[in-house]
Amino acid sequence: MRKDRNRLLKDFKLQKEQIFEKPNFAGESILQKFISDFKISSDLSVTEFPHFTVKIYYFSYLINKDHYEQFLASIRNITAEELQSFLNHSEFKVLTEMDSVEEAILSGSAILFTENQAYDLPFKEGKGRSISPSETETVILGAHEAFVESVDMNLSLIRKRVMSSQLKTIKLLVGNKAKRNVYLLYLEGVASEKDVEEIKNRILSIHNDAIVDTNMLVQYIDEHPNSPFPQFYTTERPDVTAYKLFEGKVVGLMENSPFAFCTPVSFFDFMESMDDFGQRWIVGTFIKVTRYIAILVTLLFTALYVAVSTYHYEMIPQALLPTLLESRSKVPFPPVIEALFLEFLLELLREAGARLPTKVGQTIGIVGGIVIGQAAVQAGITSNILIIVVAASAIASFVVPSYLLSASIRIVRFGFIIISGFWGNLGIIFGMGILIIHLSTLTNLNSPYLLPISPMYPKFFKYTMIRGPFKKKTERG
Amino acid sequence: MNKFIIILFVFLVTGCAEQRIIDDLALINAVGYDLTDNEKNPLKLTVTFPIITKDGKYDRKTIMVEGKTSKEAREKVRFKTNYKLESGQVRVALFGKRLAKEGLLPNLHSLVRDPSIGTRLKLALAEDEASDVLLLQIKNEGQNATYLEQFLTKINRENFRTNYNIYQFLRDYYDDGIDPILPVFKVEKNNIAYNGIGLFHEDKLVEILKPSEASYLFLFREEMKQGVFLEQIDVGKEEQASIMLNYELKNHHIEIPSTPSKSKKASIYIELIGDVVEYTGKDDVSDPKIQRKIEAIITKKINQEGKKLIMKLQKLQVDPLGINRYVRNKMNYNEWKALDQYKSYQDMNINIETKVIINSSGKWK
Repeated sequence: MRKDRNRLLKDFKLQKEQIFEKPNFAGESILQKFISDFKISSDLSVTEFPHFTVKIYYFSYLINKDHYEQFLASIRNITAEELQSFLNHSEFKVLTEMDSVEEAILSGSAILFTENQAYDLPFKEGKGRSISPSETETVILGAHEAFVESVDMNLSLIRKRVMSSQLKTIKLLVGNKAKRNVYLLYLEGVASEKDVEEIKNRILSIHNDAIVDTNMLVQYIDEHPNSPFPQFYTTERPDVTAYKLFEGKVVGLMENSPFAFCTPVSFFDFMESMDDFGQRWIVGTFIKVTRYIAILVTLLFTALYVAVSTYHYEMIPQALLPTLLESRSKVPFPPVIEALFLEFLLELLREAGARLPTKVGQTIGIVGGIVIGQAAVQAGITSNILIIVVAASAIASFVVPSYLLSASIRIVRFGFIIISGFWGNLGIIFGMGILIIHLSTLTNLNSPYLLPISPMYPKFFKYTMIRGPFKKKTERG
Repeated sequence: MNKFIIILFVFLVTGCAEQRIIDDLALINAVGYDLTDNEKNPLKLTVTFPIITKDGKYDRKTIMVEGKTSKEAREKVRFKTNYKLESGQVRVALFGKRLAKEGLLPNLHSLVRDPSIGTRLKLALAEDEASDVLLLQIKNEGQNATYLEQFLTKINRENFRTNYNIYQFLRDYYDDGIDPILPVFKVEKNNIAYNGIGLFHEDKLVEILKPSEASYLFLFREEMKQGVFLEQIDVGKEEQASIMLNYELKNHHIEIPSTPSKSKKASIYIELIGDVVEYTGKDDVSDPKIQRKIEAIITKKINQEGKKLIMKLQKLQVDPLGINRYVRNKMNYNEWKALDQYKSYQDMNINIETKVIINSSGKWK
């Protein structure tokens, strides 16, 4: 496999060199090159004509059959002499380079080869998944449309929401050989030109063909690849994307990916949902504050249980002591092992639930619920209180609207549990310190990750920390 | 790489923190101190802590030892249990009457010195032996410590408004204008009951006031905000009626007229607003005229009983009302230092002026 690939790459290099050697190559040679490039592609179709030396190559599943049939009908009626003038007068583009031929045929054109020239016949098939409601970022109030795999469709979804000539798009090609389109979108005069330049350079400097999704792409262009925290905001909602554009952010769309990325963003963008804006501002603010509490609960609740039951028995309220003692009395492990065991079991359950088909998923729910909820306690493996604690922090972790951030926080939580098992509350405080230091060193496109807090801009709190009333929202957030 | 090694060391060099997993601990929730006749080991220490029985039930264990000091006795308790002894959950410290008469301070100091014990630890006295109270097994009542703590919290919240904890006790002790007080509990008919207030001179118990007397004492203390007044009063000739008032202390102040004379004078003004909850007399309490009459009777009664109580306090040289604080406020430091506080307190002429207003006569009519 690897050998093949190396050989292909070598071939590719050789061809490149040949092209540079002969800049004005004849049509015959481009056809030969084309045939040699695509020689093992059994899915490549070809149409030949008896009365003139014209070959049309195409991938039958990439082109629109009806348009192609119409074209064939028109070309059959003309003679070999008329052909040249027909092609010259038509709107078909002449392709002179092998690279553009390759790109055209792979993106859904049929290529017509005459004796010495290649023509691009754009019969692209627009088929794809139709627009459906978002699965990963559901809202109660607001639009339900989500991006699809077709980038044209996605661009149309954004254009429909940002009806302005200020919306600029830049098309970039990513990758060495298997190039794919990435579109950068921004509002001129609102987004910073420097950001656009920077992100453009970063994307162009990627030399990897195996990027198939936006969520992968952003990991090639972020500044801190070893941080567990997501740095680029990715979303599959066009309304969120439009909102980010108005906020002055640069948005990227990738072909065949239903996700858009936004930059520069801060930690607080990941804590936002479109529902906040649909609600009254008091309700929206309440929900936002609830999310911050949920993050703390996810991070610290289990760790606090471990710390208190291992080191700080003084902190237990008198009324809670009997229940805690009773439920702990049967457990043979120290609290940290008990907690890690249960948290790990829950992660298994979550992952299994995410990967399984919905019908089998229900079984997992029942098995997990009964095994964890009842049998584990009766068997004396975990304590009742811990189950409540772990369940509460698991629920809290799903309150975070961004799936990416929620997953990161769940990982960081394990660190907190271990450190609290070593050092108790002192460890939790150290952990918080390290976490805050880490978060404040992160940047996204040279903009600090904890933006309105560090560096401190209290003026912006009402757009980020809370959801301020709209009346006063005259300036950009 | 260096960073990695440092982090590794940080996790390896953590053998120092002592694990205290709650199911391996004897979490003492109440201690009792008593004095014994044993000359070698004069201190009797009783500790009680919760345990979980084999069948998973919540129970308690009480251990009693004799020792020279409280810490030495504690060491002896350690030899008597399979759990690790911890005092971070101590809620109540109980002192026997004999020990209290000798002075509480040495034992209080050893409690305060322990960093795992907070200053909100509640204190109380036992009528006889503290160990009797702690050893008493009341059926289906659970922990004696929890019972006592709830009792003390209730007393504090309901009407007496004094925090009976180490902080308040030491504060009153070190303040030379006031003397501390503590509630007294006793065992009666297989139950632990409140039985008055212990009066202290410095840190030594002097006298225990009966609950009926104690309610007058609280009437003159300023923390008192509301309470219940229950008394037999004389209405008319040879006719007695029982009256119960739910009252609110509207006004309370102590005045010391600044006279140059040696013998000091003090006046305590209190103003009560009360609702009649119970009245067994024949008169109609909703009649304003009758109300005025009852008000006058109650005022007289309070003045009379109060005077009696204060005379008693003066004779015992205890000042739980904090009258000396007001005396101190009227003079400079040198004068205060030169003054023999208890002597002047004893000679002081303390007046009580009461004003009682009956606000309503209840839901009747």
